[in-house]
Amino acid sequence: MILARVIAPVVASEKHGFFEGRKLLLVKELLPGGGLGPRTLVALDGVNSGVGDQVLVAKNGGAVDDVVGLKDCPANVVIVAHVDQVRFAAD
Amino acid sequence: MQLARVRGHVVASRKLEQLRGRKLPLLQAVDEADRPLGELFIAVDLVSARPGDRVLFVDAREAPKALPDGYGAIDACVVGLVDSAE
Repeated sequence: MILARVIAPVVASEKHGFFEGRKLLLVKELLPGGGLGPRTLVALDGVNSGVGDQVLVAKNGGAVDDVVGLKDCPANVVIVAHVDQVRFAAD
Repeated sequence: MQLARVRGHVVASRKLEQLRGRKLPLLQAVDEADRPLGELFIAVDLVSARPGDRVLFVDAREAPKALPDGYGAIDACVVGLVDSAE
């Protein structure tokens, strides 16, 4: 999984039926120093996240199938955890 | 999934049966501020995207699952027309 921050909701009125009624969130990878990296993904919401939240994002279809409870979902990015804290070992 | 801009489209008269009748837009992944993220690639279009549109696409093994019968020799599919992502 990657560490990311939720930066915006994604609204798409014209879309594949699978995405009907499912919340999509734009997330950007969080770098160790706390800044945001370039990698930007659109994730299905798995734990009711909101803009500004720190989250864990899983990037495969199996994870989406688990969260949604369906097989063969046409999606492969899903938020699987809300992150309270990240602590790095003092090296 | 990611956001992408439609940069054009490809015309291919001879192609696999699964691709018959499908538009093949030329995409480039972009971030929240429309900055490009990587090189151009081709996807199968399921939402009649037009050049310049901002779209949502799914890639890798999950792309064919967006097709009506759930399989196909593709690795990217446009699955949404993005109204907003701010």
